[in-house]
Amino acid sequence: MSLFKEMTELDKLLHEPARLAIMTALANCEAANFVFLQSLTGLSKGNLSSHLTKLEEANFVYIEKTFVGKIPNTSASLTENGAKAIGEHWKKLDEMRTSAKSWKPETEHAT
Amino acid sequence: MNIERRKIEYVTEIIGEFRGLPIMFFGLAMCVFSIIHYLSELDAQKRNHYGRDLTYSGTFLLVCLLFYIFAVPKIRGYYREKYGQAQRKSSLRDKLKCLFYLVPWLIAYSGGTRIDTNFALPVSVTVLFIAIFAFGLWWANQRGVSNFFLYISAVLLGLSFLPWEKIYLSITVLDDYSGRMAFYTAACYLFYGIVSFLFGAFDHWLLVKTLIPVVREGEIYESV
Repeated sequence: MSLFKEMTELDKLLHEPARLAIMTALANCEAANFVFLQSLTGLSKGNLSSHLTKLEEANFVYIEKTFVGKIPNTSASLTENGAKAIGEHWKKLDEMRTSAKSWKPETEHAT
Repeated sequence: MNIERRKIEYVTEIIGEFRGLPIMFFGLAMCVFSIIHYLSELDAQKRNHYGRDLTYSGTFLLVCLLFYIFAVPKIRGYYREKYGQAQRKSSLRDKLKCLFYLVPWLIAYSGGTRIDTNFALPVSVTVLFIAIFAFGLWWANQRGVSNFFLYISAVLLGLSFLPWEKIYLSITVLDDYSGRMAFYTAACYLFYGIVSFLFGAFDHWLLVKTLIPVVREGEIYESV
């Protein structure tokens, strides 16, 4: 498959910037709470909440709601599915970046 | 690994560990106590009175313990409230990482200070080991995020070649074993304190730069 066709066929659910940031952050820790994800991504509460819902529906993220004293605490972590998906997604992006660096119009025509 | 991804990983490390402001405090305390310790040693020697080491170490440990009991929970609460919480993935690499903190310090403290005291080498082994410690901090924690500690390590490497023997002689009038020992021990604590302070400050700065403080989570999160 050509490089550019591959680019257009990236998983849109994961490639959306906010969701990619959330998934990348979660891939680097065991679990993170809502406030941490919000401060890392800079998203509004509503936005972050909606993105987390989408990721949960896709079975990429597991959400756990608890209370710390009287304060609600929402914690998110990657499911096995999600960890695999984000790992593969970044691998694909890294490969594409390497290919894009060495890409020349003739190479594309030849393939 | 992409630098931004490494930064995200680094930030989750800081927030999930005992890092940032608490380390800054311990570094500062070490610097202050190293000076107090040296001055008290000098004073003790002038009066031919030894055995002040315990007073120094005891006070230092007491201050650290009080700080740990009263201030650390407040600092962690401040981080948690402002930036949230992330639980780190624990790996064998992380468990072994603490060796980077402990081993060079023990070597610098017990080995370096004795070598420097007994042999007039052209290089200070104490400072050299702390340069290695700074390099270890960079290698284990900050590689791919920043080269700040690599530069610190290079500066310390340069400092280790300063004429420490002459500096010692110009500072103190006493030229005996315990005087030298006190000098190199104080130097060890001082440099270790400076490196720890900078390490904490760097972590805190990166945290503040990367994360945007948010208000506490409310009941808005209802759709999930």
